[in-house]
Amino acid sequence: MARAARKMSQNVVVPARRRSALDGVLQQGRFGVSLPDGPGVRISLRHPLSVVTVIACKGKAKALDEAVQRLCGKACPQAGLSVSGRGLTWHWCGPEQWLAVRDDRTDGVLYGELREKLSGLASVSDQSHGRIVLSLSGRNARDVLCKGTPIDLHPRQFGPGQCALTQMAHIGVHLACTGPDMFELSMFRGFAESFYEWLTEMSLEVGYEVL
Amino acid sequence: MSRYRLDTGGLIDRNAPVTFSFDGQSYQGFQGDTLASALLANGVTLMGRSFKYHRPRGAVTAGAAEPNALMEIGEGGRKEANTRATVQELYEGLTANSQNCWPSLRNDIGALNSLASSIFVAGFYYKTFMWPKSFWEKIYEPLIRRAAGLGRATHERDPDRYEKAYRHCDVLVVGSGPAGLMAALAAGRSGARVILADEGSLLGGSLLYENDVIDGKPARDWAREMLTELAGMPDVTLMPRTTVFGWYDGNIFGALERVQKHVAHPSHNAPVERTWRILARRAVLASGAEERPLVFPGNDRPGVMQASAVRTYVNRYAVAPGEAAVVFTNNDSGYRTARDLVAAGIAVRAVADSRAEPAELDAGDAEVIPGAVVTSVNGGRSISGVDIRSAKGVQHVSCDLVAMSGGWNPVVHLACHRGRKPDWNEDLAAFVAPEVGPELVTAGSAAGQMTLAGCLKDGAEKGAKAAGEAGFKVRRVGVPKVKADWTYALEPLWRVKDGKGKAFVDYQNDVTDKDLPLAVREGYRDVELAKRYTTLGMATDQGKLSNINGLALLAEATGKSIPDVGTTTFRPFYTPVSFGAMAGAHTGTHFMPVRKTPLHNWAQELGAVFVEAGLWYRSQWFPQAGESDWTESVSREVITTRTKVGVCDVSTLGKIDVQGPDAAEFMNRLYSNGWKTLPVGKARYGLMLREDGMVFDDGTSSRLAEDHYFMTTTTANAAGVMSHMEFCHQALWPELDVQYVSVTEQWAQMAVAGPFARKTLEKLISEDISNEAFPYLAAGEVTVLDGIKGRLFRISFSGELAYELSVPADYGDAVVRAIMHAGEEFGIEPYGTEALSVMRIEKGHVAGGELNGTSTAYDMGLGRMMSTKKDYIGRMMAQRDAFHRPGREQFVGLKPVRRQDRIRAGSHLLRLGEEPSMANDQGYVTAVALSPMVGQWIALGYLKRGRERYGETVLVWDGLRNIHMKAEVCDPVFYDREHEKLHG
Repeated sequence: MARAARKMSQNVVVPARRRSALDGVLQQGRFGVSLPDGPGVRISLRHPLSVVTVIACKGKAKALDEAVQRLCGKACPQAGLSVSGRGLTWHWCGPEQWLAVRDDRTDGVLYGELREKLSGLASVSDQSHGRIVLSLSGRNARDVLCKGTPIDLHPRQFGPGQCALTQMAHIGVHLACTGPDMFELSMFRGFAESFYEWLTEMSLEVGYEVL
Repeated sequence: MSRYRLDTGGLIDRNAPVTFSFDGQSYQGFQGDTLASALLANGVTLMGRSFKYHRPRGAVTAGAAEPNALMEIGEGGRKEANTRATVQELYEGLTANSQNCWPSLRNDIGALNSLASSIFVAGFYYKTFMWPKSFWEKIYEPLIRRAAGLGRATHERDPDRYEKAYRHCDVLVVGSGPAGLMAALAAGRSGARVILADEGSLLGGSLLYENDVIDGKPARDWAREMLTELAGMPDVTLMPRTTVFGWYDGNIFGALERVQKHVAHPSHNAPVERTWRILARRAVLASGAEERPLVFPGNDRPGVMQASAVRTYVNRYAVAPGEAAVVFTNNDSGYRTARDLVAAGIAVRAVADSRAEPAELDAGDAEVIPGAVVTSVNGGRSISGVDIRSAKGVQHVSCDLVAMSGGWNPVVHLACHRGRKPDWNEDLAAFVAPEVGPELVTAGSAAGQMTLAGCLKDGAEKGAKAAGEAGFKVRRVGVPKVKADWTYALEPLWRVKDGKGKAFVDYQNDVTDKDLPLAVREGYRDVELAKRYTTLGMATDQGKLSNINGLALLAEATGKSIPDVGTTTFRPFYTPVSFGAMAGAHTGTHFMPVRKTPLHNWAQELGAVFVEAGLWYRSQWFPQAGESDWTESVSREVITTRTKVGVCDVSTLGKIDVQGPDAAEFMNRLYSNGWKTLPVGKARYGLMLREDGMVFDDGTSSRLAEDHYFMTTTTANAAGVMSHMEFCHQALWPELDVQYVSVTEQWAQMAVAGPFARKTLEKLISEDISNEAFPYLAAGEVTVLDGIKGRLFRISFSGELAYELSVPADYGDAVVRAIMHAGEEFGIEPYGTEALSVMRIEKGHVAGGELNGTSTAYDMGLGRMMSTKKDYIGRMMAQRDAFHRPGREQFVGLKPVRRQDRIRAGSHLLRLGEEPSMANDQGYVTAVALSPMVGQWIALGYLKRGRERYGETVLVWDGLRNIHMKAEVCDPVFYDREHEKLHG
């Protein structure tokens, strides 16, 4: 599907390639200050990725928990938390709302799966193309993030498995801590370039590597 | 080496000489110097000219409160005015220039103002420049601006970067002197997350310049040990060069970090300044105290300094600010200066103590004259001596340095930033910080502790308490021992009476001891009024030195006590903060985020001109070679679309997935027209009203399944509609089982319009989209380019046979290129928002200009959209009588009578022959277009009783451009009035 093509009337084939919002923007390499112990942060784009918004139907939270348990082995996370299992990550993103994320499904497949398995329990909407997900990791990741978000990022307050909705550089961001000094930032794709420019500027001080 | 640099001591690096320049002359200082200490070390005492009288001035402080030594630092885009030489760290190549003088600092013509000083008294401007009124803007103000002033800002672009950031802590400690250090230690050892912030380049506060002994060690060594311990704690953050400038709601503090203001060549990798917002559970304010000047004649001459500033220059910078000193004090602390000067080998000719019977204190070997005051200072650009009056009569003492101490003012600013006034303390003759609750406590001399031992103890206790309240188990810290601590006692001396010459209360604003009584005599008795009338306490130093002395003089003139006079209002910022630091990284194109559609790159390649629509960048038109005017490009795009086929990026429209068993009911309540009867696979135009009955938004929504609608909104209202839905669902109808989420960015959406639209799309879409299979207002899922799942809507804003095709955003670029390719044989062209607007005006569709918040559906001719069979938001209020008054303005078309006339949006409509007035106003023009189909400029607008007036000629009055014309009122649908093309 990602490589779908169609013969045109004049027998010309136009390849339909998924083009991320950071296509041509993201440049691999090391930038900013050069420190002896290497770049302070590493930035990478998770693409292509399946991202689906799941919103519980009225009064179905418990049944939904059970269904999600069957999918990833864990119930829907409470406010400010994320859970992962069987390749599927489930981020809280609002009252009885979650972002389901996985990277091993082709376009539209996760959406279709969830639509079927959660039918009657939750509404699902595909956001795989609508949101862009950036990974930020490294010893200075928190120093970079604190230039944008008022969230307390101290490991005691915001450690692995925690997530939050915030604003950074005037852009709405879903921020998740995915491991020690590892974070994921997700935002509407239209803002991706603007956000990336800001993020890399803020990373100059500690040095960054784009993977 | 200069004779003003002491041979030993100081926290300067004598192995690191630094070359800098002041007013074009080159000098040398050392790493660790401030600009002021380096200038003093070179014997330069004249550092500026005063604001009004252009009197020669030198540094009076060694810190942040400096009112006189203000300079322009740096060159080109980095030039910064009003930099305090007393806090500017020296760096190699630093360029400083004096300001507010001409032709030079030494010979300043403005000093003639001083000769006429009897007329330049308080309120001078208000009295003198009153008449004629017309002179104010053109003559008086520019004149005053030039004559008086505080440096000049550069007009060049700032080459440096700025940042903003957040930090959280359990305990914020403001100030790293004895109290702050102990507070940080106590909190840090208890395990709390601590931030210790201080405006200085080195942490330690007064410990850096006082010759005290703590735990058997020199104070600065003891401080260094404590700082080393703090630096080793993982949850303690030390922030030197950081001024905490404001205290805000929620115990949030603003702080400015000078990251690279002390380096010769700022690295682009780091900001030069960073604004911090520090969110603290508890805060300890240990901001210390500021020494008050004494008010006596000649107290502004270069060489007259705070006694503590003299100690700082001698002890911290190893600089002799003079060769022979007189100390003038009303309290014990002045003696410390005498002692330290003598110890450094600088002569102290006399200690003039205004107290009749001062206690025995160590003044080195200097002669103490009790009951003595300085009555005049000899000299201009430097001093040669003073007159001291005492019981023994007046004696002349020659000296080139006067160290004055009028007592100490606790620095209470932050504690007062949220509205509380400070408390008067009679013993200290000063205001101390008020109790403002547990979130912020004041410690040390800021809280009125005037001995070193008292400060250490107070800091330790309050730091521990703060950590405890923040939830940590307190570990007590031992309070270190102070050897031979100084006492503090004073007798207020608010001014020296009957002296010779001007005695200044406020240096920066040239306010003398005569100005305050004058203000009172002229009726400005209230402290806030007197401040503004005399300018006492204004400008960059905000009266840090002058306010208390000023209040005392005001008290004397009004016969009140100082606490009854009260203080003026403390507001952030504590010291000036640059605009760059406030803006952070958000300048230029990054002022606001840029939001791009999935088709942006494609449009850019085709040379699109972009327009900002909210945060979105939308392609406005696509100029081609040879087109000289945008209207030419737009007309071509319209004609191509109307005769062949065009493609337009409409991805910015708000798109909302509405799902759930009650989705239909939800839609029905939000929109004024009905949605339950809409079959699956159909689209419908919808109108939303506000609760007050006015039109809110419009758009086309489709039913994808029984329980699934795909709603679109206007670009401008996308976020507003979403919050409206959230409010309605959460607050009004929580019983509805409905879910909705913005999917705006998931879909790249393009309008394909024109007679060949279907033929073009047929080549890309697998399904049958013939008129029979996919008629007007059909909606459904389609397969694009053999594999992409898209959505197709047979809807039209242009009035042509048209479709809107949505594909997942990452495919947008490929699909639009495929559409261009497929339409090539039909002559396809892209069109932008301008052509879109022309076509919608030709079709009389309402949009932004008409959805103006003051128009009803009836006004717009959309009364039929208001269902009578159901309830919906806005229904009740839309029934108000005024909404149905016959005289209301109604939506009409307008056509200039002379075909060549260009009608302008915003013009008002009048009856022919009537004068423009509110009473005669008949309506206004909301949107205009050069219509290639009509062959002239046309317009839409609102006109009173408009629908009854088709055919009437009205006057179109454009008072802004002074262009007036006649236009014919007509049906707003100019093109294809029968709407046949839609169904083609």
